[in-house]
Parts: sequence; C-alpha cells; structure tokens
Amino acid sequence: MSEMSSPLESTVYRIGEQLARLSAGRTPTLFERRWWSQSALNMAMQDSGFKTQLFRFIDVLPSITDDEEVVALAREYLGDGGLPLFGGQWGLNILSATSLGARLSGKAIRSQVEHMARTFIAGATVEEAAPPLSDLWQQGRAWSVDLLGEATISDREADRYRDRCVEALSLLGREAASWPSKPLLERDHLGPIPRVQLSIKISALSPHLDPIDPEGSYRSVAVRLRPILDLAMRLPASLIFDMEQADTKALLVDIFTRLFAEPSYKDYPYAGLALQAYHRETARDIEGLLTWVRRRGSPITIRLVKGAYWDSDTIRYRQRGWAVPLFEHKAETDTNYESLTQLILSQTSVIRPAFGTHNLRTLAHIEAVAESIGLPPETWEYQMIFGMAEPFQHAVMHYGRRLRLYTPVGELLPGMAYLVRRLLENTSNESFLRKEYVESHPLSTLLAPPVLEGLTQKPPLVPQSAGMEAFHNEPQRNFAQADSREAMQQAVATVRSQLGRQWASSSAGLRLTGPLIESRNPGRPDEVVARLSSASSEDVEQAVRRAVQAWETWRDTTPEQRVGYHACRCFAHAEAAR
Amino acid sequence: MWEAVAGGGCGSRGSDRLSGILRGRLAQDCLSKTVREDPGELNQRLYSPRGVTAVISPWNFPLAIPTGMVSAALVTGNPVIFKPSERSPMMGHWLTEILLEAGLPEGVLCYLPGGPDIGRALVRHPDIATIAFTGSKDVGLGILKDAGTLTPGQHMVKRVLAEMGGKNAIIVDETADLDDAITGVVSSFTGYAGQKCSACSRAIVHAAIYESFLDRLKEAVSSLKVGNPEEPGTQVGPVIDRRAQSKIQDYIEIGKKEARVLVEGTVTGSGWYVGPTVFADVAPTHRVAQEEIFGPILAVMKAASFQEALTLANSTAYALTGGVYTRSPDNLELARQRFDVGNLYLNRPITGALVGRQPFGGHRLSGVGAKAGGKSI
Repeated sequence: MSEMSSPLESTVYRIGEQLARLSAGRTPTLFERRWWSQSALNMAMQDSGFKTQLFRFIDVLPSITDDEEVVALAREYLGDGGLPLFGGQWGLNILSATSLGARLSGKAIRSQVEHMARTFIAGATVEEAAPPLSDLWQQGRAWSVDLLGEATISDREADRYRDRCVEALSLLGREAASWPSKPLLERDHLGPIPRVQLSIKISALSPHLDPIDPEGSYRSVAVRLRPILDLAMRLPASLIFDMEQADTKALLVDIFTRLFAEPSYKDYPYAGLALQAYHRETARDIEGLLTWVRRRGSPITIRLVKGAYWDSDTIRYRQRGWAVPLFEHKAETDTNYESLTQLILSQTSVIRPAFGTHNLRTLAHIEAVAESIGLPPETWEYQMIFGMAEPFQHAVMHYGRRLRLYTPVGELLPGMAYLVRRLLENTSNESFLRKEYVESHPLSTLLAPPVLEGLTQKPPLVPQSAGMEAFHNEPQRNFAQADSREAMQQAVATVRSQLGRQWASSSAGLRLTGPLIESRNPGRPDEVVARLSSASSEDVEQAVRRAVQAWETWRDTTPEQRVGYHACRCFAHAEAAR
Repeated sequence: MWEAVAGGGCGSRGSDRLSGILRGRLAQDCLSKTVREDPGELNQRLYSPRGVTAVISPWNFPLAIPTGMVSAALVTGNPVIFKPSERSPMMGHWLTEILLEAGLPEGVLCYLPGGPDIGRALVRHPDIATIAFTGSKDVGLGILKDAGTLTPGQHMVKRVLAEMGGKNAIIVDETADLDDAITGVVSSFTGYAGQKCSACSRAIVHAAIYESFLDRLKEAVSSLKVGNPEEPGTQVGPVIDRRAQSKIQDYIEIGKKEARVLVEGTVTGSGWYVGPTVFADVAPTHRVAQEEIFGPILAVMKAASFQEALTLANSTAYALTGGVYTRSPDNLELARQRFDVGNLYLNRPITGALVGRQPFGGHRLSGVGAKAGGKSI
C-alpha cells in the first residue's frame, strides 16, 4: 500500500500492531457462551432478518408483564426456532407447550435478557451501580454515568430526570471521595479532573425541546440544568452533553454555549459535549466552539464519536425530503474522524480531548497524530462503552492510556431495549461486535486508512425539476435551520402588515353582490384578517351560466394543455396535508 | 369527469363508474385505455369531462384541500365554481389568483365565496354535473340528498364526491412503545386543536397498561403549550371561531356527565381557545365516544383484549382514519384485516396524509369511499 510509506501511516501501523497484540486472545463479553448456544449466535449474526427480529423482541420485552405472553411474542417474532436461543439447556421448546411451561419459559427468557443486560448496564439504580463503578476505578478505568430512562414527554418526567441527575451526582460524589488515588485517571494536561462524570441527555430535561423554538427550548432546559450544574461545580464533577438526533444538534450546541457562557458557569472547566464525526457540519461546529471557548477563557471537553443515529436519522430526513446532513459512507465518516482528531489535538490548550471509539485503526491513528505533535499521553482519553469491546479496553489500558467507560445505569430490561435500539441495531456498530473481526482480518486491512475513491453518492431523493408525469410533494421547511425560522417570522410579519384590508376577488368577471365576509384572527378576535365580497343567489346563476359557456372550449383542450398551466412557486409551501 | 365504454362498432355510452376525482395532476394514462382486443375488434375506454363542477371546500385546510379539488376538476376538463367556507375565505382568493396568473382562461374557474345558502344554490342548480365536497357529515348528507333530487332543466345525474367526518380511534395495546404511543395520541388529538377530519378523538387502551398510559398521558397533555399560534413554541392554538368554541365546550360538559375528567385544559385570553381535555373510562355508548367534536377532546376507553379494542374502534358510524400502536406482529396483521377505516396507520400518528403517499378518504358515514391524492382509480 502506497499510504504505508507516509510517516504517519507507518506510525499508525506500528502502534496498531502493538494494540492488536495487547488485545489478542480476549473475547468480547457479548460473545461469551454462557448466554448463547454457538448455533444460535451464528444464526443471529449471519441472518440479518433473524437478528432484526431478535432485537425487536428484546425491544418489546420490558413492556410485557405477563410471562405467557412473553413466550407468545417470542414465537411471533422468532418462530419456534427462536426459543432455543434463550437456553436450549432448559428445553424451553418442550416446556412452553403447556401453560405452566409457558409461564416458566417466560420467566426464563426474561431472566436471560436481564442477565445479558447486566453486562451492559452497571445497575438498576445508582446505588446498585456504585460497587461496579468502584471496581472499574480499582481496575484503573474511569467512567461516565449515563442515566437510562424512557423518553421525556412531560414536565413531570423532565423534573424527574433532573432529580435523578442531582441524586446521582451527590451519591457518586460521596462514594468516589473514599476511593484510592489513581493518578492516571485524575489529572490531564490542564490539571486535576474529577472522578465523577455524568453524561446528560438534554432531550430528557424538557418536553419542549423543539428546533422551531430555540429560545423556549433553552429556557426549559436551562432551568433544569442549573441545579445539576451547581452541584457539579461544588463537587466537582464533569458534565458532558450527549449528542442526539441530527435535528436537535444545532439546538444542543446552542444550549451548551449559552449556558456555559453565563457568568456563574463560565469558569467551570469540566463541561463537555459529544460531537459526531458522521455529521457534515462537525468541523464547522468545532471551529465555532474554539472561537467561543477562547472568549470564554476556561476549557471544555470534546468527546469525539462517530455517531449512533445514522440509520434512524437518514430514514427520517429522507422521509421528509430533506438533504441528509450525515455522511453517506462509513469511509467518509472515518476520514472526517481522522481530520477532526488532527483539529482537536492541535487545540489542547482549550480542549480536553476524549475519543469515543472501538476501532483499532482509529485508536492507532489518534496515537500517531498525538505522537507527531509530541503531546504527552495524559492530554487525551479514550472512551468506550461499558461491557463492549473489552479486548480494546484492555489494550489501551495496558498501553498506559486513560480509559473512561460510558456506563449506562437504569432498569435492566428497559435499559436493554434502549441499548438494542441505540447500539446494537446501528449497522455502523456491527464491526466491533463481531468476535471474528479482529481475528479474521489481516492487520494490514484492519489498519488501512479509509478509502474515499470510488464511493458513489446517492442522487437526491427529490427530483430537482418536476416532470409532467412525476408528482412530488414539496418538502416542508426544516425549522432546525435558522433561515427557515427567519423566513417564517418574516412571512408572519408580512401578512400581519396586510391585516384588515378589503379584497376584490376574481370571480369570472362577475361583480359579487352579496354581503361582506369578515375573517377574524381566532387568537385575537378583535383583529380583522380580511374583508371579502361574497356571492348572492343571483351571482350563482350568473356564475353557472358563464361556466357552462366556458366548458364549450375547455372541454376540447387536451389534458396536456390543461396540466400545462404552471402556477408559480407560491404553491410551494401550501399547508401541511391532513 | 366520467368514463365511457366505447365498444368497437357499437358506440354505445356505458355506465359511469369513476370512483374518484384525483387530487393533483391527472395521469396521462387516464385519457384512454384499451380494454381488450378480440378478433376483429378493438375495445377502448375513453374519458371525457362531465361538466360544471362545484367545489365546496372546508375552512380547516383552506389551501391544501381546494387546491386538490379544484385542480383535479380542471385538468380533467371541467370548469369549476369554487365556494370556500365563509369561515376562512381568504386562501381561496389567493388560490384563484394564482391559477389565473398561471394563465387559466377566465370563466373556467369562478371563485364564489359565501355561506351555506350559496352552497345549497350550487348543489341544486340543474347545470351542475359534479359536486366535490369536503366538510361535515350533516352538510354532506344534505348535499347527497339535494343532488339526488331532479330539478327542472337538469339532464344529468349529479355525481357527489363527499369526504365527511370521523371519530377516529387509536388502539394502544400492551406491547406498545408508550413513549411513541402517547406522543402519537397527543399530537393526533391536539394538533391544529383537533380540527382535522383525520384527528384522533378516541384512544382505546389495553387494560394491562391502562393506568400507566393514563398517568403519563395526563402529564403529557398538561405540559402542552396552548396559546398564540404566532409564537413558535406554541403547540395548540385556538379553534376557528366562537361557534366552534361553544360547540366544543358543550361537549366538554356532556363528557363531564358521562365520564371521568382526566385533564381539563384551561386557557386564559380573549382568543377562541379550548384547552386540551381528556376523558377517561368512557363507554362506547357515550356521546363523546360517538359524535364528532372537532376539537382537542379525547375519549379514552379500556379494552380487555386486542379483539375487543378492534370491536370498540369499529363501533361508530364513521370509518375515516385509525391507528394502532403495537409491537405484536399478530396484532398488526389483525388490525390490517379488521380495523374498518379508510386510512389505517400503524405505529405512527394518524394525521398528516400526503398526496401521492397516503391516498386519503373513508367510507360509512365518513364519505362515499373516494380516495383523494392517489394515482389509482
């Protein structure tokens, strides 16, 4: 490979080899045989249809309280062949044929999945998670707690998430204070760093997070964030904003920069946010944050991840007829991740870099870039997901690097469903889930740089010009974009300036003789929107007569002529269909 | 528009079997179609315009709905007299201006704003051949009756396309993702203050999750921002006018006598607002479970099984839209087969049909079964 000749690539290869050696012979927990029969596992990993059904089943499982129904649903999703997956050794197939057996099997399935969940979720509550978190620390791994939960759809649920965050911080702060000192985990190039880190899901802090309303979104989030932040400052603890779906990205960055510029919070040095390399705007966002953080004066953490919402975001944007803001190909995301790595590592006077990755090439590339700049290793840290990619966890720890585990805490079954949705069903995560991956590929392949040549871009979904035969809906405006919001406000202002006028209508040359119709603003009934002449019964007679006359020629026009009248783009933003 | 069957050498004009006016552009292939070729004959089906079409459109989608109805009649060769609702006439004015600006000959489209008397005069006029109507059930049935009454000078049986009301239900079973189900129910019943024919007005919830559903629903509805629609954060605006407001408030009083109030929204201010209101433990015979209210009012009913939920869902006079939130493949299939509605939505909100993607229209007392916005006839 020609790239190997470049100095950076040869460093990547050298370090990659070392990391691979350090990870060799270890099995990711997901593939341990205590859960799965090997045949079932192969079935799940090789048959993507079966895998999807399995994930869907795990997704619905927490909702089901009735054990017999668990078995019934398992059959609906997986067929009879699926039951052995949850433990052939118990003979579930035979058992579940009877009603008593079905109840037992339902319990067995549930406990299987709960058991599996324990590998990915540190505990159902923060109390329960404290011992495993302590163990991690003793083993030399830092952590960032992520509180799992249902989506926030009301103010009460937003308040509850705020309270859970506050409780988690105080409990973990108390617990962690008594832990032994771990110099590698407690200091970076800018000074001491807290033992406690909480990752926050901003959408859980408000039912009113809506890109159309940045102001209201900010207010409703900030009011609940402040108590969390006040406590984090006192402890101290780090707070990292998780990044979510693409349509809230700009909103989250905006909330982050507004809140941490407030006088009470601008000196807090442990704020951070996750940024996604699969997003086309991330380089620009980082540039913007750099300008902002220099003005602010105290540093922030950037957790660089590849992004976990590719599949759902891509579908959602295409469904709406919007250009997808994410890179289409994994190689583009990987390339972007590498260039963002360069950017972040060149700005470490104001950035605390955290790299979320489970990819050997990416790990080696980060090391190579840092080495080329001559950064001391405490400057950056790696973040991996609790319970995943253990061989690489082991490798970077033994390579002497700071490792932090993103650690979900929450009820096991719902948490497992969440993980299935977020992590396992994401096609871009598949590679690190495959046991054979590292073992079955030559290092030169695993460590090769991403290749952009030859990638094809999908043509835009919506044709640019509408042919006569093709109908397409004009996409609705994307109010996550500031220009769309401004255009909307502008349009409202324009209409407002015309309120109360009297309009004369084109009624086939008729002068309408009925009374004036007054249209009023339902939000402010005193306000007249418009006055219009209406028709009288005599006008109806006239109108029909003219229409009958007009038909004489209109009926003889061809359909081609009739569809040939092209109304201007005024139609483009007609109201949403029913 | 009507179709004629011209048999080779016979030339007789056959029955009118067109089932719908297309919303949007008419596909070219509608013009003529070879029915079949037999030895010595070529049988073709030709489409011709029917004559003057009255478009009587509702206030709630003052641009989208008449755009479809007016343009469909025009491209199929029929002149149009367009009467928008007197409750929101201004958008019809703009639609007409735009079409004339595009070059449509004057006389082919006549904008005729006015009240019910104007609509009635149009429907009864002997020279009107087709009536395309979207609106309430009572007005629609009145149009069907009037259109069926022969008037002096009339020489054509009037065809009526009527799209009327709904009493649309969403079924939520015990396997549903409640995050999705509750947000879907809330947006379907409160979006546009419930003033869509497709809006949800009944939620039928499996007993196993009934209480937890109500608990989260109550909080979600109470968290809605009701107010001035010019504010971007507003989720529920006012209803169209005082008449609508009073009618909805009357139904709230009826609901209070019939069922348990779960949430009663309160709104201050001078606008024609109605706070989103939810009734729980509603029985299928209750008026709030049977009658179209056309406001942000939801009736929640409990079902012991998915079968019973389907029976409840089908127990009104309407059949327009319906929805199901379930993660049971078997129940999804059952809903496809047994949920008797024009538009069935699975695991998504039940409003927002798009032209070309979700052809729209119901049957029973929701309409004559025509589908708008689809290609197939």
